[in-house]
Amino acid sequence: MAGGRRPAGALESEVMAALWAADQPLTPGAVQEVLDGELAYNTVQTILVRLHDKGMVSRTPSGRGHAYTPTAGPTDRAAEQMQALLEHGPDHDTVLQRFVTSLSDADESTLRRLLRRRRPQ
Amino acid sequence: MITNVHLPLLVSLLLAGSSPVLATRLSPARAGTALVAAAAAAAAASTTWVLLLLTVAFAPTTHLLSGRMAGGGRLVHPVPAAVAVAVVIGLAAATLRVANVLRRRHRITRQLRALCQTCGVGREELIVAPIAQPHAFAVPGRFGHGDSSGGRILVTVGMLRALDAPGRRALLAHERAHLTGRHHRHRAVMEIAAALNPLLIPARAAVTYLVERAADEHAATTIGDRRVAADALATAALAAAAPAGGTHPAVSPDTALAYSRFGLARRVAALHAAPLPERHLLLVLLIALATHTAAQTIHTVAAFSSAELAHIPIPGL
Repeated sequence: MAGGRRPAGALESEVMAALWAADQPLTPGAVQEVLDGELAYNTVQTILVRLHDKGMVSRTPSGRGHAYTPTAGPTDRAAEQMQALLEHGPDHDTVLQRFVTSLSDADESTLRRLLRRRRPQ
Repeated sequence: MITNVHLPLLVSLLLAGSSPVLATRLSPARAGTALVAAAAAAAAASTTWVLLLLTVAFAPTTHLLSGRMAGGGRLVHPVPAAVAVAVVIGLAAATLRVANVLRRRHRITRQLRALCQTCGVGREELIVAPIAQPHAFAVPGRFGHGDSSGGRILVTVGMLRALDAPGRRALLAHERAHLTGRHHRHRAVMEIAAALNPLLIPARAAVTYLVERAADEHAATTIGDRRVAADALATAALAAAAPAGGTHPAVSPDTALAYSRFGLARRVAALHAAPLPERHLLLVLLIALATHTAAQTIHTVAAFSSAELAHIPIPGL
């Protein structure tokens, strides 16, 4: 991959993102697989142990090792706060740095076309 | 009134006309910075002129009646009453708009940090909110995390699940680019500039687009594949637009217009195309415009002050 070496914080974020995206606890091997084998098994293992030490993930015994899952924050409170954050809609977009914003119908169909062109299979 | 009062107006109009074109023709990172500099200079110049005009209009002791300043600018005195009233109203409106911008920024920053606190445990870079709606934000700040200039990346579970592993990597790289590039400062300057001088609203829209484009390009470089970055963006946008959970945010006609011009489809298409070359001449012209405007403004203030000082008797001498 073109990125080369990435800082430890970025790797932790990537592993956390993979754990959150999964709907079940993941073993280090499963994490490695989800990340397309980009990281060495030992690297993944080290990151997971570090995340566990920080209290960001919990683990359960699985086979000869452990399976890891993210420690979830209080969901209701988060949902409330997110709602408050977004309730002003486009007005807030002048301040918020959002990855994606609302789509117009034209944008939506263009995006679908661009995605289809990419994935004929 | 001094003749080169027209300079800030001309620069603002020039930026209003050219920024939509510049936004789509220039390589985004540097173009964004140059446009911010030019707009900041234009906003500072127009505000300075308004304040000078007010001084001339309402300070009876002003000695600018002499008709000529050290800098050679010509004066029209007295300032017509209608102009003076219009300027006062304009200034009051601008002050209100700036106050509004600052208040809104403060509230949103507080809300973002509260959400980070609810969902995070320590000083980590990535904060995941256990919410199904797909959203992602860069949260600037000083949390002591070196990779992101101390800022944080806030995403929802819904966004992480919408993407595959390379897509998530692109998303993280995009948000990190906002933080390391300090894009929130670009946008804060443009918010205040446009509040002071509404002619700069098109430049603000262009900068909003350019910082997103700069972050998109950074993400594409980081993961080493423009198509993967484009797909991640398109997938995330479509997921966010899908009315899951029934809380689909309504798109106002105004917003729809803005996005069809500088929208997501355009960002995705730009990633499908080859990277834009740096157009150094245009960049140099923008920076020259910013510098000239700033220098003229400083010159005028200096000339004004010296003209005043030359006539004001200093007590005790």
